[in-house]
Amino acid sequence: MATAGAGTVRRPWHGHALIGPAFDQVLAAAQTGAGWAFTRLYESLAPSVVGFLRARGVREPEDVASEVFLSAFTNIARFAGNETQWRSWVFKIAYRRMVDHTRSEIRRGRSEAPEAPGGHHVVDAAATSAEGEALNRLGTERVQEILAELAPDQADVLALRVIADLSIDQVAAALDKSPTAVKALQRRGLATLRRRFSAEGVSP
Amino acid sequence: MDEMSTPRPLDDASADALIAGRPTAAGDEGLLAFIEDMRVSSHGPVPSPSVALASVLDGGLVTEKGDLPATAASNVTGPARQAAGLPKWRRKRMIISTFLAGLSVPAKAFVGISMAAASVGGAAAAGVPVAQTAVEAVSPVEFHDNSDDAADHGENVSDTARDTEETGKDKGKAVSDEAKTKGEEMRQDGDRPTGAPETPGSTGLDKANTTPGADHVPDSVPATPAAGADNQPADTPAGPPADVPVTAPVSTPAGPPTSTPAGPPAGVPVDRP
Repeated sequence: MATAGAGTVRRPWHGHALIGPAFDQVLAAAQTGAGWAFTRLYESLAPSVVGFLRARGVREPEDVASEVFLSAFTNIARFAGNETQWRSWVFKIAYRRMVDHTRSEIRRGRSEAPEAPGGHHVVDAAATSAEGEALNRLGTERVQEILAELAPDQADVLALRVIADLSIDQVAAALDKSPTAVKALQRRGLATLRRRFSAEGVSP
Repeated sequence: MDEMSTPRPLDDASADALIAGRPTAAGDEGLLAFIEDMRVSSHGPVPSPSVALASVLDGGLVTEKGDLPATAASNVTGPARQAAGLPKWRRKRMIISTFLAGLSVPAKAFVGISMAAASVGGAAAAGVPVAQTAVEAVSPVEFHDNSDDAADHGENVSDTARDTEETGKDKGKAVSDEAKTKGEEMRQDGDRPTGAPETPGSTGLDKANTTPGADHVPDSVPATPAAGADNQPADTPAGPPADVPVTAPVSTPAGPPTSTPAGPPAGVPVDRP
C-alpha cells in the first residue's frame, strides 16, 4: 500500500456529522436567522468544506470556508430541500469560492505554484523535500499532492465525490457538467490513480 | 508484462465501488488506501470561524429573502391611514363631499334649494334685497348698495313719495307702483295726468268749458304755470304712468324729465327679480 503503508498515521474518521431528522427544524430556524441553527449547520459541514478546500490546494482553507458559510447563511432563505441537498448546495458554493480564490491568488502573484491547464492550482513539486515527502504521506498534504497530479476536472470530481460525499448528479450540478461527463472524469481520474499506485507498488 | 501493472479499464460500476471503498480488483489496495486517506484527512475538528461568521453564529443574521413572490400585503389595500390625519378645513370638506356623494339626485336638489332659501332668507333678514342676493349667489355679478340714491329719487318725485313708509329702494318701487296705479285709474276715468292735454292744441280751459260747471270756469289761466308747480297737491302723481311715455307740453309743471319714465334714474341698478 502506498499512502497507507509504513509511516502513515491514520486518523480516525468520524464520518459525516449528519443532523438527521432534526434538519428540517434546524433549517427553519436558520431561515429565521437563529444563531444556534447556524452553528449547528456549520459544525455539521464545516470540516468537510475545509477538507475539500485544503485538498484542492486552497491556502487558508478555514478563512475561505467561513466565506462559504457566510454566503450560504445569507442566502439560506432561498434554499429549500433536505440535508443531502443542503450539502450539495453548500459544496457548490465552496467549489465556486475555491475557483475564485485560486484565480485571485494567481492574479496577485501570491501563488507559488504554476497554473495548471484549466486555471487550477498545482502543488509545487520542488517544495517537497525528503522530510516533507514523508510528512506529506501522513496527511492531507499528501492527498493534495496526489490530487494535484490529476487533471483539475478529475481532481474536482474525485474530491467532491469522496470528501463531500456527493452523488454523480450532485457533482454534475456543482460543476455545471452533465452526469455523463462527471462519470467520465471520475473513471479517468481513478484510472490515473490506479496506475500511479500500481507503479508505486511495483517500484522499489 | 506484469498483469498487475496494467489494470483493466474502469467502468462506472467499478468506479463507484472504489469511491465507496470497495475493492474491485486485485491491486486496488493502494488506490483504496488513498481514497480512505482523502476521506479521513478531510474530516477533522470543526474549524474556527472568521470574525464575521462568528458574529453570525453567535447573534444570528437577518437573512435575505430575495425577490418577493407577491406584492407586499400592506400595499394591496392601499396606503395605510395617516396618523396625523387631514387638516380641519379639508376634513370638513371631505365630510360634506362624502355626504353629498351619497345622496340621490332629488336629495341633492332639495339640499341645494334649502341652502339657497336659507341664504336668501338670511340675507333678507340682514336687509339685503332678495333678488340681489339671488343674483349674487349664482353669478359673479355684485351689486352696489344704491338704496340712498333711490330714496333721493323718491323724495324728488313727489311729496306723496315722501309720505310712504317704505325706505330705500322699496320706496322707489312703491312710488312707481303708485304712479302706475294712478295712471291706470286716470286712464280708466278718461282723465289725463295733470297738464296732459287730450289732444294737441287742447287745454284744460277748453275742457273745462265743456263740463256742466262751465259757468264757473275762469276766462283765462295763469300766465306762469310753473309757479303752480311748487304748489302742486301732495296727492298728485309725479307724472305720467311709467309704462305710458307722454310728451309733456311746455306748460306742464316741473316733473321728471319728459323722456324719462317713472322709476329710478338712469345708472341706478334696477331691482328686477
